[in-house]
Amino acid sequence: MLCVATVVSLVLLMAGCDVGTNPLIFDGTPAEATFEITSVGSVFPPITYIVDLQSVLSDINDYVDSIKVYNISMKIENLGGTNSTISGNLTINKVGDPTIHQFVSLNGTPISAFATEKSIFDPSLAASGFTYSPTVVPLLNGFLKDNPKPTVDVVASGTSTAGHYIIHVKVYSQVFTTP
Amino acid sequence: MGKYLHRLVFAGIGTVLLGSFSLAQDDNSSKSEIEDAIRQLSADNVRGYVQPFVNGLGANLNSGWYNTAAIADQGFHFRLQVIGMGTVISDGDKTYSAIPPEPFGQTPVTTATLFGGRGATVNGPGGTVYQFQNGQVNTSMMPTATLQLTVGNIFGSQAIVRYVPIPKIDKFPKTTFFGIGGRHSISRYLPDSPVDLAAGLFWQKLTFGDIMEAKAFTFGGQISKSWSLVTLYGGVQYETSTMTLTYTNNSTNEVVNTDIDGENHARGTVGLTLNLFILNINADVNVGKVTVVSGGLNFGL
Repeated sequence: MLCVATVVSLVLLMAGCDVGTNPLIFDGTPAEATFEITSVGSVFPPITYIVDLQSVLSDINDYVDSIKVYNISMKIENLGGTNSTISGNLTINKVGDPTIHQFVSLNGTPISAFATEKSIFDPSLAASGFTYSPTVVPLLNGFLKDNPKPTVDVVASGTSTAGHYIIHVKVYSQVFTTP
Repeated sequence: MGKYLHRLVFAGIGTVLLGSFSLAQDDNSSKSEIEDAIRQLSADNVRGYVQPFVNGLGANLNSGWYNTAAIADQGFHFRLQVIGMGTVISDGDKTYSAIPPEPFGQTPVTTATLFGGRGATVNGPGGTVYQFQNGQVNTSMMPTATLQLTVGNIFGSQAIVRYVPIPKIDKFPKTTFFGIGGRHSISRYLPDSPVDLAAGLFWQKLTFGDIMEAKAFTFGGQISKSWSLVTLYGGVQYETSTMTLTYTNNSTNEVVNTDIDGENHARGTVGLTLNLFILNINADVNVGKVTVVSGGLNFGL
């Protein structure tokens, strides 16, 4: 009978096992904007890259509770030019919304500072003339509350020394599902 | 609906724990909760998140191989067994130290394992916030169940096989569990021994979906003494287990291919078997790095 009792106890313990009691947290698909800049040492015209924020949810089929941005990164590929610097701004606005929000600002920033993908929140970037808007994360989190997720214009404008660059901007987010 | 299905499966309908986790997923989900949770983790953090799971699975797989050390020297022996094992999940198995991603401070944070509660939250620059993955299994015992066939006896030896194939059904990934082993009577060399003695070794492999493959190996010695309807048995064994995880992190596209070893390497076992002719029932307790309880319903001659 001891054996029977033990087996029964084991089965009861097994029955007390709950799966999926806490909501899953997914990484959203990074939203990316890319700007190719060919400069001869003067002002380059504004370049607009359209990002559909709905793409953050690609590959996620669960019910979504909220989305929160946890990192924004930049990388600049140098396709030509040496000791190059760049000055200018990245801005963002919802398509069709005239309100434009500054995203980041560069002031004589060496493109080598972004030779590898780097968080815009990296404190070492301040010495390179780089600043980010303190409101960019709340702003993006606000955009990501919309349903459906909006399409946004990301615009690069400014000046640079002669060269050929590709600027990559990535927004990383977490997707919180409902239990 | 999902949770009730899980409970049913955990109560013994399912044959393999991993399979049971998947059977109850929502229709809209592409993977099981465990697979989904793991895919979000970096190579640095996945080890701590799943280590208690690997410990429990490995310890479970290495359980339930015997319920007596008595093996006749010759004669037909056939026994089909339904075996359940459960590893005790302690409070210490519910948290681990993890490092948050950039741009957050690279200091360890205590957060939930697969068996834990809510993941820890850290605050970063610019108003950023990061939450570690939540625990996905709330239990005090991690269960596994299997079917097992024992055949013999030839010169005091038996062969033991575990095999559970679960085909891909809708979103339930293909799962295969196979184990093989053998036991040999030591008592046949010690005719005057007052107790039965045997030794055995066992190997198992479990594949689950696309990202998990577990292997387990054990060898050890067994001892038993029978009185009428009851057999008292025990043993000691050395064991290893390894889970290989292969997946691509959703966010970083980092390809993670890592082996995580189970931490249980030795155990002592004590148990009782109730012998009722063609049916017997057994239960045992196994103590090592983790504590495992196993029990079986056994049919045969």
